[in-house]
Amino acid sequence: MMKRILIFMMLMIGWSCSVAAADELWVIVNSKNPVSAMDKAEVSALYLGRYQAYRDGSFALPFDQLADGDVRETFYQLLTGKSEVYINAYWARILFTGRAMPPRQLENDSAVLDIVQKNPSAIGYVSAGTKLTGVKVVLRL
Amino acid sequence: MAVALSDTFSVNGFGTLGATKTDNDSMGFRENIATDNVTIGSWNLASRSLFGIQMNARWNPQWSSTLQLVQQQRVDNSVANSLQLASISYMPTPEWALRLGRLSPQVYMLTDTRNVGYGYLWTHPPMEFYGQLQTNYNDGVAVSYTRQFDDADMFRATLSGGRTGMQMSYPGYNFEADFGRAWALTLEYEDEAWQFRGSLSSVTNQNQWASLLRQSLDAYSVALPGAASVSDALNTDDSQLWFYSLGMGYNDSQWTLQSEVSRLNSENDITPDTIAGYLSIGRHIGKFTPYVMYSRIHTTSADYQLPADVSYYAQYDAQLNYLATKSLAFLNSQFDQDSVALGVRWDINSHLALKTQWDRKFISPDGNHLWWHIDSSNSSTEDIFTINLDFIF
Repeated sequence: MMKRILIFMMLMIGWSCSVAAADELWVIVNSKNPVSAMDKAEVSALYLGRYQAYRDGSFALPFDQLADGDVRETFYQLLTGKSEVYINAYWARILFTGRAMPPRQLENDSAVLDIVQKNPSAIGYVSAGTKLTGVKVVLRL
Repeated sequence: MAVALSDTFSVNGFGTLGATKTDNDSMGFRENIATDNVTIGSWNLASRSLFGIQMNARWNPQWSSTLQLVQQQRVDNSVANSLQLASISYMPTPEWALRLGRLSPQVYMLTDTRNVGYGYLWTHPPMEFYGQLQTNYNDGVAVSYTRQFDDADMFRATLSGGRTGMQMSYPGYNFEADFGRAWALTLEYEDEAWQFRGSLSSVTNQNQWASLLRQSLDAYSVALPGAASVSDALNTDDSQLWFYSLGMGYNDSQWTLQSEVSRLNSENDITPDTIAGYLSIGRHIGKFTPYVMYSRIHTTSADYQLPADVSYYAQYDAQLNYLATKSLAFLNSQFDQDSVALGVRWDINSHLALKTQWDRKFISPDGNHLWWHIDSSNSSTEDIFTINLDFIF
């Protein structure tokens, strides 16, 4: 048991953080979504699991980018002013109570774009300048 | 975090590799009275070490389910007891949520995430506040209502009810109580930096060992009226414990604060009435967060005095003397201690934190019942050293 935990720890330490960061990020929703603009407070409520719906009351399904990637770190810094470390600790306190689940993490901008194009409830974020089809930008960070 | 297995399923986990040392060989330190995982003197590697795994399924925005297993050293490590969560959640609207199954108990701010060391600043939740808790899970139902305000502030009210698993452990005395009925009302308010929480909860408490003592005392009660009164005092049948608590947390890029106060009112004479509280202040400096904490628990119920006839005859009757001593141990199990702690958390990366903490505890005479007390009842000062590596994935 102890040995397995130790091996696991070593793997985790090797899990390094990258440093380069995107300058600007776009928060996107499906083009069929009636929402045309959102503010930071609304988006952060969705990504911190405080609330599960858009302002019109329909369910929102947020998607995240991969942990330890520069896009995710930048997103939370710009949105909440908090580090990824803080966000992970915050989610650890909620997730492990079984009360809510953090947004599913996708590999990159194109995976996020793909799912937001397909799902009318989805919300995601991508690097500014990503070529967009079937989605619209509701917030620029 | 999370290993996504598919669109629907994901797996998360948490764990701690920890070591604890005390400066005293006569009293055992432990985090709460439910555990026999005790540190007496030399470094104990099992004190905090645990591993938890959680499987999540999100079927659609309305329905989800969660299963969580935690392995650690404890009184009963059966699968049934390792199962911390097994719940189905249904959200008919974004405001309302209904959860059913094995849920985490809602007593204090950290009651439901005590096992997830990565989630809090310290190496362990303050003994003076969390040490008196015997509940570890709740089989039942929880309904919550969430309201979001325009500026991202959130208000949530949760009402939960069910049966709780309870444990208490002392040298030579280890029991898992009959499941007690439990309910809780929790109100929470959160904004970007602040978090407030108030709760009222109640658990039915039943002590099987006290019931056995009562049977033996009842045999004496014909000859000794005092024995009947001791037996009455030991009666825990259907008595309730009432917990009232207020908590607050603050976090910005520089400071992190957390404080809670609570009152426990017990309807039986075995669980003492207490007031407890703590205040922790930490300062973020890069990846390091040094912190200080003060915590205190105080018993407000009076000592129990044996009736004169029982004390008198106990001198001549070994069996009665044994019963009287055991009864007093139950009836005068008081919690009275203060603590200051200094520590530092180092966030190595966003999955892993290394923490170390030194606690100095000031324990009043007869107030040492949070401890695995091997020696008797002098006031004492104890130093505890802990070092933990906490992770999540």
